[in-house]
Amino acid sequence: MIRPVTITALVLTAVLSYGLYELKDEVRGREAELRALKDAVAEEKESLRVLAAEWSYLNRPDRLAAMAGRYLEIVPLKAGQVQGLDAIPLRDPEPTPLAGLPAVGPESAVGEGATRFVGGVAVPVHKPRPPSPGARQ
Amino acid sequence: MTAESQVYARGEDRQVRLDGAAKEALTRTHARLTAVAGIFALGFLVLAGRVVQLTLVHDLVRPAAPVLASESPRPDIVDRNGVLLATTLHAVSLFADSRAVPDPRATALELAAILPELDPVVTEARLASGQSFVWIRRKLTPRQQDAVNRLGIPGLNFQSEPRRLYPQGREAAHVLGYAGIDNEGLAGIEKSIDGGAPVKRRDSGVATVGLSIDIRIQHAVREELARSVGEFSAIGAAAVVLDVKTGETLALVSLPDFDPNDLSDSLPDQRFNRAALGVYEMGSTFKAFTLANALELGTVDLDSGYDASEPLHVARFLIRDDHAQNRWLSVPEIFIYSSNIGAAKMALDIGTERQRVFLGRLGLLQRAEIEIPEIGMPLVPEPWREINTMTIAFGHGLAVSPVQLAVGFSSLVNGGVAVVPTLFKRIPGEAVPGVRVISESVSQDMRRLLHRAVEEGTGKQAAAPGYLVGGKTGTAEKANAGGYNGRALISSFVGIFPITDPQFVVLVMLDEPKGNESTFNYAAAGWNAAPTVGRIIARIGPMLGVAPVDEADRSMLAAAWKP
Repeated sequence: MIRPVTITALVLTAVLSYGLYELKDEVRGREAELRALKDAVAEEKESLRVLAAEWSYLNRPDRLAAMAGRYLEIVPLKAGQVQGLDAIPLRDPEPTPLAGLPAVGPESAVGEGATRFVGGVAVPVHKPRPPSPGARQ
Repeated sequence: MTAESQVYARGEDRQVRLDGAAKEALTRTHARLTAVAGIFALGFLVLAGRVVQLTLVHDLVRPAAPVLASESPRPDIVDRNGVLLATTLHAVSLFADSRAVPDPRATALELAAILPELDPVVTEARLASGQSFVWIRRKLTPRQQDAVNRLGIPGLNFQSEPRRLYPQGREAAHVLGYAGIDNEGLAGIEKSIDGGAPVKRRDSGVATVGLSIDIRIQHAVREELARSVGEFSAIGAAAVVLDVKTGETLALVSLPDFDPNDLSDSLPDQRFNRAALGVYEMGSTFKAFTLANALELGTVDLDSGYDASEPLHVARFLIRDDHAQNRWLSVPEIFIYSSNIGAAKMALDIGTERQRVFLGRLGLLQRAEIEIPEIGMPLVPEPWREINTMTIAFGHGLAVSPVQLAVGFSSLVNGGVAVVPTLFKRIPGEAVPGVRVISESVSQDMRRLLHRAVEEGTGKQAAAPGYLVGGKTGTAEKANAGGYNGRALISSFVGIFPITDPQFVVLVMLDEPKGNESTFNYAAAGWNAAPTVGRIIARIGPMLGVAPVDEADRSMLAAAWKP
């Protein structure tokens, strides 16, 4: 009578202990994994911060001005270079060909030095050459 | 085995009954055994429960060790376009356990090769001190840390510390202020943050403070201002760019300035904020307030005028004109030629009390409400006598900060609503609080007169190609112990553009500018502050998206001035 109970109890204890051990081991493993991931996330966040600081540092206006002066043929925008959209003549729907000349499409109406609008910003069609280094300020 | 227990063991089948002492002993033993077994069972149950709890539930009860130690205690500061102005990075500091360092002399020399600021003699002494913790160098760069690591010397260790970094350097130093070695805000916005500034959280979880400053504008203003300081050998300068409708500060510059990344080599004069903390008698720019006050009260209209042919004697004071016309002057002429006599007479008709109330409503008698701790208290005359009324009419006897002056002008030209300045970015379309100080039509008249002051008057050099600029010069002698010093000047110019529909106020103030050959040795504001404002407007106008116009086109002006 007492023997089967004891055996059942022993087996149960063994099974449960093993199960518990396995579970605990797995939990520990997962925890380590989680910690590693959190560390990695923190590390990535920190590098993001470093990169953001570096980006801001490299984009200092005085540095950009110096770089632009060295590598680009661009000078600061002058008020005269900005035009409103209404200042651009609309495309003539039916261009009247001049006598003795071949018909001219509206595209060629845009001449040298004209200003094009790209996304609301006036961009010179041809880079203006800076008049002299002193004019760059 | 005893006989008794055998009897007991078989007794179940045979139903043997024992009596007397034997039975009593048996029952007692049985009860004791049961009790002991019960206690043991209970104990094991508790243990089993605890084991389950520890292995499975412990995670919920006590969370794992904190990992996100890199979360910065101070929020980042960004400009109105999101450009990073201040951030916190982790820097490592080098310390040593001097008991573990094998050769202090060699180590000190090797460290000095990597960290040039380090004095090998001092370092050697520290390494030989026998203490378990000595700082060698705080806040190394990653490159230096790597190099020290490569030495592989035992006893040298690193500790991670937060370090405040200002990537834009000097650019907005007086706005940002700085934080101390223990990461506490000591000046500027950094100090305001500790006092509870509006902090937003971005999607990435980083807390940020968004300023109204535009770093591009700030840079352009600072560069032009620095140029003028050099050109006119001024001892300092300040500049403010304000949005006249929202009160947002787009740029606030004070020169000389400092590098918040390295405070050790900055002087108190460099850290002094001339734009907000310094208060100065601003001179003729105040005539705009006198004029607006008189027009609003109706004590003058644009057709009336005052006799400015004779200097004014009041008590022991003599009020003279710098640009004397020596004749009767109309109200617009008084403003355009900047007549002290005319302005003083105008103020007498306004009266002391009404002048005080008006200046108070423009915010010129209290501290500016801008969100940095360095704000100067205006110097208000006490008691406010009639002579004060007359001198304040042309900007002497009342000292205000440049920020306050810019705010006052904004309120005059924006349609007449008092502006509340701010260094924090407003939400676009947000209703801006403000009380009306002058009527729409007086504001319109002021724009017109400010434009004429640039076209015909003392501010001619403030003209910027493509933009209609209005503004007023102000040249004041600096007050010192014995009165006024005729050689030390504060010259200022407040420019407004586009004057037909004002959007921005640009103020430039030069502290003790000197005349030079190009100005024919004049040091007045029209020769130094005004052209600086002109250059600034020509540069920032396109950045701010202000549509340029043909300033020679009179018809457009006529249309703008129509009532």
